[in-house]
Amino acid sequence: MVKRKADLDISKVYSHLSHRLLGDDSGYFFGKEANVNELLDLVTRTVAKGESNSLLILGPHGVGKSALVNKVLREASKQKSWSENAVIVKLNGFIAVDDKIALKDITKQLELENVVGNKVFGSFADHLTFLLTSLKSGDKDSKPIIFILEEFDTFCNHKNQSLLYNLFDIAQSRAVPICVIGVSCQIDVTELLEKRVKSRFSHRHLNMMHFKQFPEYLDFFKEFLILDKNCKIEDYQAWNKMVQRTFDTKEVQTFLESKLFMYDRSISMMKQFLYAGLVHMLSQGRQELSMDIFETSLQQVCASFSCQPLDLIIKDLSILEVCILIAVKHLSEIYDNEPFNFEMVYHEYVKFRRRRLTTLTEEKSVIFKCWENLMSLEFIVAKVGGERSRSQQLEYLLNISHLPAATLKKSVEKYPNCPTEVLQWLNSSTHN
Amino acid sequence: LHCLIHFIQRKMSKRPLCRDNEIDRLSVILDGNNKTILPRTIFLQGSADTGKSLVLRYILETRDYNYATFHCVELADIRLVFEKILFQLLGSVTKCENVAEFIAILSNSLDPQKAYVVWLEESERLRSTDYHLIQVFCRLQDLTGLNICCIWESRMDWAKLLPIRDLPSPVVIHFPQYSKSEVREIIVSLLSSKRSMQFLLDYVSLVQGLFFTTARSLPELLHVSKLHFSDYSQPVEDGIYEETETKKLWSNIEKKMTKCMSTVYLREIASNQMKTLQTIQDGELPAEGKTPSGTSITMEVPFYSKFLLIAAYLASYNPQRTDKRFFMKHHGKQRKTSQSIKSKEKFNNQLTGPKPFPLERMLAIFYNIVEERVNPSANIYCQINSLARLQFITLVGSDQIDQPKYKCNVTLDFLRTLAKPLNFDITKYLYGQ
Repeated sequence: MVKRKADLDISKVYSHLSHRLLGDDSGYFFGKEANVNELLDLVTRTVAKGESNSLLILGPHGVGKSALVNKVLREASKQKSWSENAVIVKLNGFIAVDDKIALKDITKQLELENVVGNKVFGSFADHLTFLLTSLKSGDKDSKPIIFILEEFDTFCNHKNQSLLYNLFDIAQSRAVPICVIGVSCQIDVTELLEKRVKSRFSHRHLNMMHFKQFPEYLDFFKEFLILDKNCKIEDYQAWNKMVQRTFDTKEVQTFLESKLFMYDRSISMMKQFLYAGLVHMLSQGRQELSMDIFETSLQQVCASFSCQPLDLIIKDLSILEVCILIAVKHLSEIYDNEPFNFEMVYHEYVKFRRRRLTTLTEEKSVIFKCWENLMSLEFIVAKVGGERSRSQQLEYLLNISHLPAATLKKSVEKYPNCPTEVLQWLNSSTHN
Repeated sequence: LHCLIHFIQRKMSKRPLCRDNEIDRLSVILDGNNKTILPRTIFLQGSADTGKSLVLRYILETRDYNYATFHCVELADIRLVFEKILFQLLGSVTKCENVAEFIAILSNSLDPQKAYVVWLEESERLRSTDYHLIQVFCRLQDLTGLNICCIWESRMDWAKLLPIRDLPSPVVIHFPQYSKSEVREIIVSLLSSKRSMQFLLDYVSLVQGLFFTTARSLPELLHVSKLHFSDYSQPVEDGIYEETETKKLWSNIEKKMTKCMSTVYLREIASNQMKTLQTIQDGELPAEGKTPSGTSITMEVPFYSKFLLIAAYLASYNPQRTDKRFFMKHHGKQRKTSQSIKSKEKFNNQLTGPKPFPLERMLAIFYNIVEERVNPSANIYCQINSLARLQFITLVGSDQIDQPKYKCNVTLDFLRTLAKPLNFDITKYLYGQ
């Protein structure tokens, strides 16, 4: 009976935590009080006093810039004068690939489609000012608008940077009170701005950085997992105690420091890691987090910074394909990384096969099929700038290898049931 | 009634074998409960034929997800992606020009309380397009505000898909290749036969032992097993051997199997033709000649064309200065050049490919090797033209002033079998053999 209760708890815990760890940031953001206050102050000044401002939030990937913006907007919306007055327009650089599309998007978000109708505007600036002045609240002046431009650096690639120019121009000229907040992961994005745009920008930056020290990082980890009273799960204190216990052990701490903190300090990686750990825990039907769960979740999340995926792919190849890769390795070593073609590799392979391992096939077409498989996996890549493939047979097309010799060596040594002749050939290129 | 049948069919879809780990993990993440939030992206990575699509489809169907699938090889135009996905998610044809419209339509028409899945197959092809597409699909959840998950499926690892800007990390699920025992289990379950389990297992392990070094992919082994199963079990059906006498049964079909090994992966002829081909004894070969793989060449050219082709091959692969030695009756003595140059050239000729040669040279060699006296008529030039159209020789360069240069595209094996009835020993004329 007790066990059944605990089981239910885990899946509820999982679903509650997954809300925290996955997409939706709302309601959960902590730390960085100074940044929050600064941004909040700026935004409320625009709305309450009609001051125009512009600001850039910069920081590496996964540090929490968008989450910061969302938190600030949420905090600000609790204020009295906000909902009547303020209008928020969010633009994303990947969607608004062109200024025209951006303008359409702004029109839609300001809900001015009826007003604009089929009017044709002389210039971009006219159109934009028309849109902004159309929002009037009663007999006061135009409403204050807050523009949030995500992926700010893509806007810099638009033609003439006209959207940016106009926005900053309006921010400076005090015609309509707007606040332009740009979010970007390129730290030197102001270098991309044209001179006229840069001069109208207020050069206010908000820089966000990753964690510098491990203890803060560890605290964040715990914060993510700790449940509080609002979660409506019965036994949450037991869960919290378990989390504290696990993270206080020396083993876990050294593991996290050496394997995760060394490589990637971002909050998004932290979230991914915890999520993978929770999924693993639940799929195995366990109740507690432990070292081996962390290890498997590291393996699953390490997609971007470890060589392991290559190992796993090589382990899935057949022996024939492994032999071809070894032949390629030897050719590259002997001829000093000169590009090679299929015929040369085949020649090398046949020498090996005749002397050491005759159970393999020598059939050229079968080996060519394996060769094409390796090409589709991009271990062997056609050399760019060589002769064009239309005038050449495929067997003679020059290629270079994209597989480092050390990775190959490591993976072949781990290959299950690898014939000893192949292993010997791996280590020495002479056949005897 | 139709809906009911469809519903029952979906619920009864078979759980894929030997993929329990991956199914468990995916079931936790995609658990069909509309309250759980899906991760932004899931990345399924594994070699070909490891069951990625099978497992995913099983999970999506049994949990009644509203999902859209798109195979990225169809990515000719950006509108195709959007329109196809919208059609599958919304159920009606909608026009969509660009990303902005796609996001707008999605956020307006779909229910934020429900969970949706977009499944992209062979996603490594997305790299060749505008990279914004990759970014958009990675962040679909943020941009639309819906509970939508984008599942990427690929043979390569995630690091190869990354554009210059970084992407948010996905949840990676790796599908390893099936192990020997798993392959056995799956093939045995797919071979439909009334025989006992042990019989089937023995047969499959024999097949596997022969083919495993060459091919590990499941469809290949399945194809070979199915092809030869009736031959293997024939003696047992006839009552000649017992079920347990595997050694005798194996030696019965061993010859056919070893022949089959040379055509793994290649589907040059249909399975029926292959069976009839294997029943022909070696002495009864048709005059056209066979390639070592057991298939015959179906290409024939006229008499002079064969010699022209041989001449083209010799012109391509022999260096020009050796022509004098091979083809003239009174050639001078061969001066001894340094050994290193010789050995380097030996490597170069056959392995680096054919070299271009002027037409005159080929004709000179041709007149030399044809034993009778040939008139240089328009017939010969016609045949050269038809060889070029068959792409046995290709025109190189666009030199209008000087004479045209050609290159020979034929392999030595093909030439040998083609020239067999001529009784011409080509190896005597090749340099470096």
